[in-house]
Amino acid sequence: MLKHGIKFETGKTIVSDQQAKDTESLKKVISKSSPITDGEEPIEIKIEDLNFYYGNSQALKGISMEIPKHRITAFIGPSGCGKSTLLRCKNRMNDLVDGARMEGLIEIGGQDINSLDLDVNQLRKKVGMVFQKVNPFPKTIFENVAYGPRIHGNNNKAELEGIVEDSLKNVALWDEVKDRLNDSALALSGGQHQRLCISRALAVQPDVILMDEPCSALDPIATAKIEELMVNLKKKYTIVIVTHNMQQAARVGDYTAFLFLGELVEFGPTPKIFQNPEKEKTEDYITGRFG
Amino acid sequence: MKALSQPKPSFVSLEYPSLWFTLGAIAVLWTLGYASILVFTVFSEAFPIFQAEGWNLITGTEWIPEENHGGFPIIFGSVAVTSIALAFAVPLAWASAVFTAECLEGRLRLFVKAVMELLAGIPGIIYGLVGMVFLSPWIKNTFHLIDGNTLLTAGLLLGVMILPVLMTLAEDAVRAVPEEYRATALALGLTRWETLRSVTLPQARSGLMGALFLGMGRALGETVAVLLVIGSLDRLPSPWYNMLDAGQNIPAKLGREAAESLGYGLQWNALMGLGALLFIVAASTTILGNRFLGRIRT
Repeated sequence: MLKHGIKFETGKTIVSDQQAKDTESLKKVISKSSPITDGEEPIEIKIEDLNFYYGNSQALKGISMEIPKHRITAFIGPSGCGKSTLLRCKNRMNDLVDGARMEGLIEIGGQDINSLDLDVNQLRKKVGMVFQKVNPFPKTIFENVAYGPRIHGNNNKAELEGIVEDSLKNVALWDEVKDRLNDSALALSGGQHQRLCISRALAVQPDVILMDEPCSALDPIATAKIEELMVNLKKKYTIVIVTHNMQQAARVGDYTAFLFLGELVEFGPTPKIFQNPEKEKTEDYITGRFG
Repeated sequence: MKALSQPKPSFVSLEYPSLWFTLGAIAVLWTLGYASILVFTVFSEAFPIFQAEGWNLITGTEWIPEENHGGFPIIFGSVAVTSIALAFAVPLAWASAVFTAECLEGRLRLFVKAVMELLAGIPGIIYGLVGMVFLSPWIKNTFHLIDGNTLLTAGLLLGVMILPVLMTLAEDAVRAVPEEYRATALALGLTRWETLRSVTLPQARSGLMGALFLGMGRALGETVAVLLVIGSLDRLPSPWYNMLDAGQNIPAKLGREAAESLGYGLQWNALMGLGALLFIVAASTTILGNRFLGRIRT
């Protein structure tokens, strides 16, 4: 924290007033968030020496990190730094990309997700995903949420109704839509759409939820709701979120990882990353000098 | 800002150089003029036959020039040949479209697609010649017939002809399903196959139907290939479901007889009556097909 102050005073940096203000407000946000207890936390996702290639270009370089269970971990970094790629490695959505290749180890809940005898569909049930582009299916609200469990073989109407109700309650959408479950999901607002998509992911009972810039298409009020929701959801789920919005990382992230040009520059408890980063690169990014 | 001061939707935008505007307007009017002359000619020439013989053109079963113009066997032939073509082509086209769109990747997919589109561009007469040389004798030998030119022959040949159009349109429809839907389904732990069945195909349905109707329109109107292999007899097959009998469809009838009866008597009016009928049906299927396809584009 002092580091910034000294730099500002000596005028060595080219940080504008506005950026300085932003940085200050970031710090205020952090100081409000609950401190994380030091010491060992249980680990949900373990990544060791991960390299990832799109054809000949290397998108991730030697990444190692341990993501704690039932916490929100935020990935930040400029566009193209590999944060979305890293996110998509965890449920192997990169398998769908032509010429994509992954080296290294990822363990989720102790299971190597690249082992040959792993069923990738089972993995994706356990590791749910929420996309940047809000994308409810053109079906009813009920069918959107019941969709996953139904295809996975649950045809018991009462059970499905229970799952739908729980999932919608989990995203605080139940009260808003309980009287119109059979209306088209497309009639909902943008923020409701994203909450519906989250509940659709919850309905298949994952352990981990990956969120790829879930709020980038939403207005501030809808964003606030999703963030509140995430903080509630971490009691039951491990959440990993990619965000462009550093305020968001600061507000909801228990841990923050800063990626730059495919490398994990720094990873640690959010307050430390934002207030007292070890690497100069991290500080430059957080103070808005690039990115 | 002219646009802002005109809140009402307007039909003409005048903000272009007047020469360009005038030439463009003439071109458009000309095109519309052609279309209306075409429609007017067909219907006005067809009118006398309905005046003289009522609905005989649609319900009558006997066609004797200048005496009785019962077009039912010809209409029946059109329906039969088109149905055979669709029954043959649609399952094949849909299956290969889904396979190409879902299972093939990169250059291989582009290659298959290019071949499909190449086939779609081959003139009907070429298909007709191949039909004469290959398909007709094959039908003749397989079913021990005296003549291989039958409704079935024409139907199968038409099926082969519309297959590429159907395939390439259907493939577009499957590709047009937004990638996010697939990604979402996969991210929920669905297999590729479950994703295809429960997300991609339902989404592509209207496009697949559009392809079907456009293919049908093409099958209804195809003339020369059919003319070469249908047998050209204006009678119902006996029994009526015997597709190994010779028959006739509307375009082949018109193609064979229009020139020699040009502008002459009721025979001419009757042919134009069939033409009008074909026009209405084919235009409807095309409009319907485009409706279905339009829905996936928006």
